[in-house]
Amino acid sequence: MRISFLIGGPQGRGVETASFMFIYGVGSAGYYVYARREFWSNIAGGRHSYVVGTISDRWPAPAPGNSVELALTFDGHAVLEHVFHLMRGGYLVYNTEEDSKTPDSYPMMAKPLAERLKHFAKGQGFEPTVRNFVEYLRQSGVEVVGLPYNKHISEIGRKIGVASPVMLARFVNTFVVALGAALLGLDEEYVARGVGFALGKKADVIEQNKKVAAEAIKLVGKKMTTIQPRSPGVKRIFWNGNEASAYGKVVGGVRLVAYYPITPATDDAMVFERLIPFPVGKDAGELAKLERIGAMAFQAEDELAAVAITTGGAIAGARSATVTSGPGFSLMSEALSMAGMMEVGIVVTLWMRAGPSTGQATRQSQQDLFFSLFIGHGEYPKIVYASGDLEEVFLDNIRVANWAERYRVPVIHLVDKNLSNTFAVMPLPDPSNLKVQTTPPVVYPQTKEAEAYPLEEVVPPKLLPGVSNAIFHLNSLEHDPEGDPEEDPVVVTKMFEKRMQKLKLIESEIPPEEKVLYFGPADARRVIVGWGSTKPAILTALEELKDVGFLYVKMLYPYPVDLVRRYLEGREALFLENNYFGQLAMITRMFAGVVPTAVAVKFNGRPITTDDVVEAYRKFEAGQKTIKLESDL
Amino acid sequence: MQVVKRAAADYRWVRPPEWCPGCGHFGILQSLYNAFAELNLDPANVVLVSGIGCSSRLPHYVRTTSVHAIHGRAIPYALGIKLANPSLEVVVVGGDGDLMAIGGNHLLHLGRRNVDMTIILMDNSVYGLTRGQAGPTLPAGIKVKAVPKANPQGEINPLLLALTAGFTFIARGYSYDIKYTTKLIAEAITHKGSAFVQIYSPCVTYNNVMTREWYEKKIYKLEEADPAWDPVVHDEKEVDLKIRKALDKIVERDRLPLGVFYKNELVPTFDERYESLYDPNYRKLPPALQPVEADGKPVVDFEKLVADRLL
Repeated sequence: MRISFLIGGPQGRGVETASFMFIYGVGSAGYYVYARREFWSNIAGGRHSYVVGTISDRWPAPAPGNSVELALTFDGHAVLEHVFHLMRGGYLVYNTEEDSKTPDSYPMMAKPLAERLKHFAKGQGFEPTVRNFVEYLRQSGVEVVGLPYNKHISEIGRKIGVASPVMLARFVNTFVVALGAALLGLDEEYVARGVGFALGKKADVIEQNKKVAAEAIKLVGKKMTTIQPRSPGVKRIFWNGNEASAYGKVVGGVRLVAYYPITPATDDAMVFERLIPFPVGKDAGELAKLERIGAMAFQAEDELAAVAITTGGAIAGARSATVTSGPGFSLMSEALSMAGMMEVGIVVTLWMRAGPSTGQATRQSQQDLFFSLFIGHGEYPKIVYASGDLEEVFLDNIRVANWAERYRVPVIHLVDKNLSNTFAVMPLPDPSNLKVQTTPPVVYPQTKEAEAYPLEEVVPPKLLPGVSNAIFHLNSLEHDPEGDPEEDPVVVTKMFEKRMQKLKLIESEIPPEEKVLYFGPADARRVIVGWGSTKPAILTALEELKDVGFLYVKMLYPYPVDLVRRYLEGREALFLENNYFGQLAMITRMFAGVVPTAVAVKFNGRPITTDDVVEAYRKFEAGQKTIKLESDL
Repeated sequence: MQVVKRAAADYRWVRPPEWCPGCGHFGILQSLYNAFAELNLDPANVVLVSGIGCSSRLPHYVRTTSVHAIHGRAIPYALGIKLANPSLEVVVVGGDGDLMAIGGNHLLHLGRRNVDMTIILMDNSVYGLTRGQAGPTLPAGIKVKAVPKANPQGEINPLLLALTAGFTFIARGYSYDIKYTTKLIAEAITHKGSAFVQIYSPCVTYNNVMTREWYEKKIYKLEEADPAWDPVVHDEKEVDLKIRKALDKIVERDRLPLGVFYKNELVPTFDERYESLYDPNYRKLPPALQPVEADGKPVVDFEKLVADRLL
């Protein structure tokens, strides 16, 4: 069972809240939800924003395509934005009080879209009013639920004794969500649960909104389906990607996060901060007597400082991470090279967004793969690792924290805007299969000078100031084992090789299944190759495409050359990426010598959808070598 | 436990300094050894952090733990170390290029946080390691020998900036006066809060104007000129008055006062603020000293952590 939906309206006026109500409400009826939010880089201002997603009785819920079965719109602007996003047989819920409006009535509509809509209406021979577009949809097989929202809300207000326009305006979210619930056959109880989650647990608020929902539900004469409340039988969580990342850090032992605010990374740090102090578990060894333990969340003056503070934290012995996006990551370049040279393990969670430059701060891209691989001057070991869904975001945060400590290299954890704003009701991941692995510090019985970089050890001993009784020097300059500046060519060669041996160690220790995953028939002649957040869309499309394999690459550096060669040998490979160059295709060619058969890219700031994958694959089958995807939902 | 009494020589590293003969930095290095000995600091509990430049080589000549980081970032590296383990004695050294130019933003923001650490500015008004360009503390109109014309850019007054930024200890020394510099450094380290010490340290190779003779004609000691000089804020009501008095002295140009300009230990330090707002155990169990796993299991209870998100 799957139902695709979207909820759209003016940004900053409750669309996000309504979406939380809807998702949580449906989730509380026992279903899984996978949704993502699309919005402009403003707080309010009335630009159009929406949440698009899928409801399902199984997990993973299918990823959305380019159109939906249910559209809940707040205003006429939203109707116009989504005219081409509704499936035949789908349902549109809209406010008939906006019937006479046109694209020009909405000053915050993107001008090019307004022009495209007017052009379309002209071609169809109608005036570009909301009413006419709705009529066009009706004729195209879309069921329409049109209601005068404000009139009804005022009437409901009278019934339940609320007259203040401010109060009534607050009911709009509940009203629209209830119309959606009615179409799905859910009663007001589930709307009320959503309200409780989104607006807080105050009983009187919930009760009042429940009444609004009950009245709103009565207004809908149709039903698209009846989803029976069910018990999914597993513990479930409602979270987004930023939250999954922050939880992963906490569980993975990260105790210092330094950051400078940047979209879409900030919430990762802010959630971490909000969770301080953390609840201690029963198996916490010597900490078990404490109820809660603390951590450091620190807002720095810029990203130069954020990454340096993070590195300082790791030098002192705390598992440390910084979170950022492209512009901030650019500022971290010199410090990452230093972490490589000084052999300090840090994690950089890189929430990619659409560049170049400031670009589109709230839009999707996978443009920073090259940059992650090659960031920082000089040659030094590092790890670049990507996550593709929320469970991975959570678990990989534990992995990368382990690796930073184990290998004492900078670890760049690639995630993106699409993941940051993916909201899911899904099974609670189980971190117990993944160990939190730490290295005990060296402690000398008496104070002594210690070599920070002994030649015989690939990974230096864990010397901590104030803990190890050691006096040692760490250095960004090329150095001798004692950490003092040294440019003797023999020593330089030895130190260089010692650092670089870490790459071999990383390659040999990290198991293959954490580097690449292969889905689909083992003997598939054609394979789609992807990385990062395109994973759910590709996996969903695979159900339709049959006989196709999916090679999913998580370890981007050191590149899993042998594994990639093994999976691609003798097969045709379509690389599918959310960037312009086809960066994974290029690095695969560079590292593994594998030439891609075809490359499909999308760089319009929107994620690759399930329909995009199918479209790309059909073109690939037909022999096309370079494919550009342009869908806009 | 046996109390070890350390001497200045105990803080000398095996390798000798590699500065030009007569460099002012030798005086600062000796003063640092002396101050560490006077305070009897455990060298394994001190972290000396520097950026890049002649002055930033100093940690390599000192027998304490040290981090020789990248240009301009000594302060945030030191800050990270201190935040993760506030029981460490963290001292930053750097030149005027490193701390006031490329790293100026970090200096500005350290002050307002009042983190309990010490910044020592080794000020010679030139970039020595890149051969004599004008430093950010070189006054306009002065031509130093490596550059073709007089400095068209004005100078930063480091103490004025430090005071504005919120440093709660502000002092100035002169590197050839080792006894006095020792006293200032020791006082800065023991100060509770962010301490800033500017030390004039003539560059004998590239600054042919602001020489030993030049400085020695101008410098004087605050407490010698005014025996009643008292830079300490004893009561919160005195803050404005003491700031104004410090300012009066900081802006002097024809003569250059040395000494402690301002000292206020009534401002809560960052760790005190953090402890009261975020984590009551912060200083007892700081990030660097917490076990994060027991037998590979996380110490945090995941389900409790996400309790408000479970369905």
